[in-house]
Amino acid sequence: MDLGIFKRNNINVTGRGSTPMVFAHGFGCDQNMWRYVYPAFEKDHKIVLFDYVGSGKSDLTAYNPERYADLNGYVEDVLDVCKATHSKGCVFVGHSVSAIIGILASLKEPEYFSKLILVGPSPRYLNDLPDYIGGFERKDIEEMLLTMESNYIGWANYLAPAIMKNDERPELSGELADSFCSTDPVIARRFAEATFFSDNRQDLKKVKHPSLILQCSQDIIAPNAVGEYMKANMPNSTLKVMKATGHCPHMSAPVETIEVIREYLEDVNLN
Amino acid sequence: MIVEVATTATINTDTLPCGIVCINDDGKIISVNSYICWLLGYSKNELEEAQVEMMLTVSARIFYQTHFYPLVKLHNKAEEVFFSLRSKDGDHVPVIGYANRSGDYICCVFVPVRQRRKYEEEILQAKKVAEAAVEKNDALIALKDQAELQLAESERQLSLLRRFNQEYVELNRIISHDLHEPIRKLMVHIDILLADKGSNQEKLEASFRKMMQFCNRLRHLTISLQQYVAVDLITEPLTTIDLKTIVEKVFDVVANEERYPEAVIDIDEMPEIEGYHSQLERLFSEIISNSFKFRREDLPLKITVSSTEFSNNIYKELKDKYRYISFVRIDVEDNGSGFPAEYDQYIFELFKRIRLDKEGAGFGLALCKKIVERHKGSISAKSSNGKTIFSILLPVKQSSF
Repeated sequence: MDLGIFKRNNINVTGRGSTPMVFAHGFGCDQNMWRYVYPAFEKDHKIVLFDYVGSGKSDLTAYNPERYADLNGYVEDVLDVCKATHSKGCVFVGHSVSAIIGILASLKEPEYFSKLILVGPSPRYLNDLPDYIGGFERKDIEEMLLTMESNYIGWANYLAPAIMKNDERPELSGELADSFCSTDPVIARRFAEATFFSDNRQDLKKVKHPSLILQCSQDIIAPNAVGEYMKANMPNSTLKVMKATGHCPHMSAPVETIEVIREYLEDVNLN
Repeated sequence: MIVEVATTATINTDTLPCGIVCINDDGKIISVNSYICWLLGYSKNELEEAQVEMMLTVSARIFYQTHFYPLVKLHNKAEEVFFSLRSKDGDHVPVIGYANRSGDYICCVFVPVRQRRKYEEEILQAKKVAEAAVEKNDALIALKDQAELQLAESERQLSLLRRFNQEYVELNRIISHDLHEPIRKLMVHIDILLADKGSNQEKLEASFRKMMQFCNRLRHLTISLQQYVAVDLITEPLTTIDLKTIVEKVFDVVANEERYPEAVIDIDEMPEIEGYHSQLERLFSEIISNSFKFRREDLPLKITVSSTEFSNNIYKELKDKYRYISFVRIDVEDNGSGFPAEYDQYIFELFKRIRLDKEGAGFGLALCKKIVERHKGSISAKSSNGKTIFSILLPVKQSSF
């Protein structure tokens, strides 16, 4: 067992089954986002949770700007986690950008995957008119990066000394580590750029594993048209439009999310 | 003076100088106060029951979904979060937001920060100018480029060195054992011939025939060895190669040689890659003839060739160095007799054979490994459940190195 990777990616393994199920969080959060969903699969699966380097409680000293300059470094994180936890043939569940990261990982080392569950995926966030509507213009993303940055100047000055002083409130530092603001702003910005400026449309047709696309209603980050594009271009894929709205059905509608994933896994296993 | 505080007074949210918005998990606005309506130029009717996105700029919508909502959902609150709201007229309204979650609702308070925002923007701007100055420092960029080139060169030298080292060990083993063996046997026979003067013609001939066999073996080994070493010496130029054409051609040749027309091949679309043509042809010729050689008697041979392109780090020797370029993995799968799993490395060693009943010097796969490594790729094999797969990983462009 590679303890280095366990610490680096803050890997947590639970569950009583043997089939591995690897949950990968999206941009802006960490493995905590799966807390309403993974317990439902503990009975039949070995659950693997982790944080990408630079997110959550990962080892920030392991961050290498070259490695994580684009999604490739995150793909290597997924494969490292699969290897460290001996998760060959896993059911991979990836939210948002992690859906694409999972797809790329499955192309690189197919034996680690059996099925891909893609929650709110998008192969490209920027519009490429007239043929492709991703939902955003470059300036929207630039503005979003500015919003992130603006949040860091406030928090960095305000919270850094607060951690030191708050011995009598240890929960504050714990809370801090759990929040998005604990991430290094430079790392977060690079992750955002790697996420929102990537274009993986050409990779969809290479996918060999069966996949489930979970499409939310009224998801502004991955709109319906994007889900349909994924379905049309990815062989062996199933599109499921959910009642849940927004971009985070695993948090806003965990019951429906669990049900849809479970149904799909049963169907695929039957066939 | 005593001030009496009325304990029963309730606060009317419509009189508060800040915007209040209640949202449910679906992102639907449940209720708002007057201030937010005034701030954004909407009526209460327009906002209530609408999606929260209506009052957010496009960038704030992304931020809401990726950061704000997960934060409030997981920690039940958020404090001092900067946002850009969008008014009915499309103006951006910078605000600081606080949120509390109770039950199924998220209650947010928004305070406009137009003046403060200007100071902050100035600070951010100054910070960016300073950062850009560092980034644009020409001397620094030149040094970085130079260092990058040197590192790439070190990587090349290191991988070459590692390969040569492995080969020296191999060659040493071959010279001390594989080549030595037929020579020793030849000497034994010559000794017998010299000692035994009265042998008849028939006995002599048998002895000479044996000696001829050993000479043939020696010749075969030295030719193979020469070819093996020559892979590094070839002066052929790099060209763009259509892998599909190569595989098709090689398959026809081998099927013809083996006199086995029942064999079928299924070749996927394959990308064009840069490489040494004669070597890549040899590579696939060895792999395909291997499939023919080890086909099962009870099953018609079927070969499937597929390929996948993805990005791979070119640095293997240097730790913590990353540059991703396009690689293609070509999987050649057959339904032959395969090999036991524990031999997956052994089969690529020079003059090692696991099936002594089959002809061949255990040379082909070692040559394949060398050709692939010369193309800065790698080769592996696995065999299970009646399937044997050779996986060849090659960079799409040699000039990327």
